[in-house]
Amino acid sequence: MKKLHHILLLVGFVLSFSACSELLIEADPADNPVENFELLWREVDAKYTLFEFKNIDWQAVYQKYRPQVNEKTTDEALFNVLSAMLNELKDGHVSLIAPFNAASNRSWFFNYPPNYNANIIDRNYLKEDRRIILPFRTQWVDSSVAYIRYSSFSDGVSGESMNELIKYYGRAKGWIIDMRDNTGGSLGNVDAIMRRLVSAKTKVGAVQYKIGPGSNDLSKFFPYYIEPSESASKYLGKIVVLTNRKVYSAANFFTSAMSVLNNVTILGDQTGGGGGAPYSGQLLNGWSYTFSTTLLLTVDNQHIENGVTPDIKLDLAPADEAKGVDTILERAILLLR
Amino acid sequence: MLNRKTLVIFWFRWGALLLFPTALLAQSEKSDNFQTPLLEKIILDPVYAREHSDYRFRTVEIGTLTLRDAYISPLRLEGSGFKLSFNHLRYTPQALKEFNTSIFSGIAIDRAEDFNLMMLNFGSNYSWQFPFWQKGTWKAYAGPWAQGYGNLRFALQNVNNILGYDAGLELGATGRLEYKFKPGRKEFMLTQQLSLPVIGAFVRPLYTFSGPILGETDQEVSIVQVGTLNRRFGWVYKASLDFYRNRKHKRQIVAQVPYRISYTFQYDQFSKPNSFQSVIQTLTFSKILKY
Repeated sequence: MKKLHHILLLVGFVLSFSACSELLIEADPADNPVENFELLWREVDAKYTLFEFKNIDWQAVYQKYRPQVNEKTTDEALFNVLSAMLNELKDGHVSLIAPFNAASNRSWFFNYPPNYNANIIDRNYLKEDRRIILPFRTQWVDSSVAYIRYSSFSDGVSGESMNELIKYYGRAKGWIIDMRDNTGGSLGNVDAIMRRLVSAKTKVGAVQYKIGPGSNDLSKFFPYYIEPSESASKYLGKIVVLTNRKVYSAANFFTSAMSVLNNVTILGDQTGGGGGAPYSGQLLNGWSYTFSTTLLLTVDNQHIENGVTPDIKLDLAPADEAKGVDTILERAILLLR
Repeated sequence: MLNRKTLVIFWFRWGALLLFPTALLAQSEKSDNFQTPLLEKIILDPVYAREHSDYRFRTVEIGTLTLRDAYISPLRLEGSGFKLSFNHLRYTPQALKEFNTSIFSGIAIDRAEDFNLMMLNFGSNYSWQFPFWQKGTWKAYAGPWAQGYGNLRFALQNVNNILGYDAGLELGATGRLEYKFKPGRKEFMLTQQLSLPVIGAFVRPLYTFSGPILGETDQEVSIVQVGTLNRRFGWVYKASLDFYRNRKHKRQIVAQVPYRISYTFQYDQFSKPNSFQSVIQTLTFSKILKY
């Protein structure tokens, strides 16, 4: 009987342990509008890196929006309140996604001239002898200048594609790399391109990220280097990078990195910015959100959140656009001729 | 669609098969000549049993996973998984030497069933357990314990915080309590063991760093941290019940085959810079063989 007691004691002990997970890992709060609001505000408060740079009083934002949420707030109303709160960050990397809607900030490009007309490029510059070296669309312009269109840093750049690009356009007097409307993607593609455009290890920027929940808990600056490719195939001639307001995120960092090189001219409009890499999270109701955390900075540790200023500021002239002429591209050709 | 219902159905279908894999493996690999009942050695002849007795067994365990990884998500996630374990026990006159290696794979989802995460947990530990107390059929051991471990957590729905990880080496202590008894004609042994780390070193993501950025660009980052109790805490509790069943051939008992039912509770916690907590509970039923 005593031995049976020992077995029962062990079973009880085991069952107690199995209940421990509830005590050790606290359950989530109830899924209601107030708790979802509090969770999102707290997460942004702890992890967003640009409050000081943007002069945002996040505590004041709480005071402004918290009274708009209560236990009876509907999903639609809660979505509107949360997206309005996130919009205070004025950050294109901030988003809120619900099953019925998604919100993000567009102010980084929406209130500015587009400065890019894809129809003009497709119809009047990329002719029948255009060459598509994926992910690039390319064309000889003015017989000695190469036009290279790269639409998105989400499109992978391989060593093979860079080999072909340099093989075909290596003798060009200059390259025009058209970044307009490139809203970013993978930073790995920044490296993949730039490795072929430098002959020595080059510092082109810096990275900084949060190391704790406090507003001043930031890491030191980590230099961002581009190491030249081991391949002999490189292009070290003149380059003009075309930009507009829709150049964002990885494309924005590419522009900033390229501006370090002596043979590069940035031409067009100021880029849209997006110097913080997005970071994901989830709310109790299943909605997801992103906002900026890791910072991408210039070579002297300055923010590029508000964009990169071009060396030559130029807009697409409406009169030229009406005639099917890309003012900015024509100026680039002139610079390289 | 991945939700609690599909996870329960998956494990219900495969649980029976996964609970008895060692028995299936043993029948194909070992004959009766090589089976030496563990309990016979320990209960009936303890002195002899502890002179260079060497026991190895593999188990497949199924169980539950509960975690909160603040780097991946602010939410508490629950799910299930299975573990493969390789165990080696060596009894010497001075100490019990134990070596365990396990790999756990699981999936956890949030309460809203909208977000899921895959987890791989690897651990390998070695301990020397010295007997320090004995009363009747109770016996206690204690000694040093060393462990190497690694955790990977994948959340493909995230953007840059896709991969959470911990890896480290640590030293700690382990204690073991054995109790042998015989209610009726059957012989049993209860074993309870608790192991916990005291100090070590580990690597894990810093607060919000973007793995893909640093992974893609090979930027050098120092992320090795010292694992003292306030930064790294955890324990492993294992309770097992050994018994044996008679194997009969033409109604004659030809061998006594040892079996083990085992429950393991593993808790891991990292406090800084972002918190991580996980509980893995597993259950196994296995046959024990002497190699």
